[in-house]
Amino acid sequence: MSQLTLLADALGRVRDIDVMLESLTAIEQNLPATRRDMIADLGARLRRRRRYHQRRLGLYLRDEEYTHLKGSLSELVQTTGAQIEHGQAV
Amino acid sequence: MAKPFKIRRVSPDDPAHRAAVRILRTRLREFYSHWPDPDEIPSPEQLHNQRISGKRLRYSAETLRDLFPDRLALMIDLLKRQQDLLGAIQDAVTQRSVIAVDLARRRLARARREEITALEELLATYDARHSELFTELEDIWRGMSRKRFRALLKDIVSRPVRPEGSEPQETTPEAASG
Repeated sequence: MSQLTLLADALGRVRDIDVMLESLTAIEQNLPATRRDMIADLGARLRRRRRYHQRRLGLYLRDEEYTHLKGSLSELVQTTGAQIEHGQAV
Repeated sequence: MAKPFKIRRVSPDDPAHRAAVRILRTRLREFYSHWPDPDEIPSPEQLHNQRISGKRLRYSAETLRDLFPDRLALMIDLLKRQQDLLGAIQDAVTQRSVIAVDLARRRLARARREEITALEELLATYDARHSELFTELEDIWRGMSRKRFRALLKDIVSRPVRPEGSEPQETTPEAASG
């Protein structure tokens, strides 16, 4: 379960920034041009941070831990599926 | 994160409709446990826990809806609406805190006054958004917290379709007792 938490956290950090950039874009549309320039700097800082978290996510997805997690989940699904097919309690 | 309530008195040998009632009633009780008084302002943790429990209830209901033909749609839609609001509130809180940190850094870096003002205004925009969403959430939760409404949901999840010839279920007396 802690492996799933790691994956969710890594995805969540990128996702949170995506949502925030989307929200900022919507806010920017209602701002005067002068204010928009100031917010654009914030957007640039956020995109920099997103690139950093995206790289970390990429590293995690290529890591052995993630390969192991995928293997465990796949095995769990197959074992449970076989138990259900044979009418065993899961 | 609050742990899920344990589903008691359920065994792998139970018929599906009986297990479904146990699961949904437990998830419903869990969902209502985090913010018991709608007139009180919940903490962010209470809201977070309610959101998670709402997901557990909704996904359970979606999985089991075939046992309750046409009966769970209202509950599922309502939960979805409430969760969308809770999600939007959570996003507003997260984003506000990112801007607050950024603003503090820009102040330390002696950024231009106009930039500081723009970030302060942005914070105010998020505060207004949060307040607007929270008012909507409170309205929904007030309605959902009414005793009669809660009893209706409990009644709905207590009446699955039983296969023909199965024994009568134990649901009705418990449903009535609350």
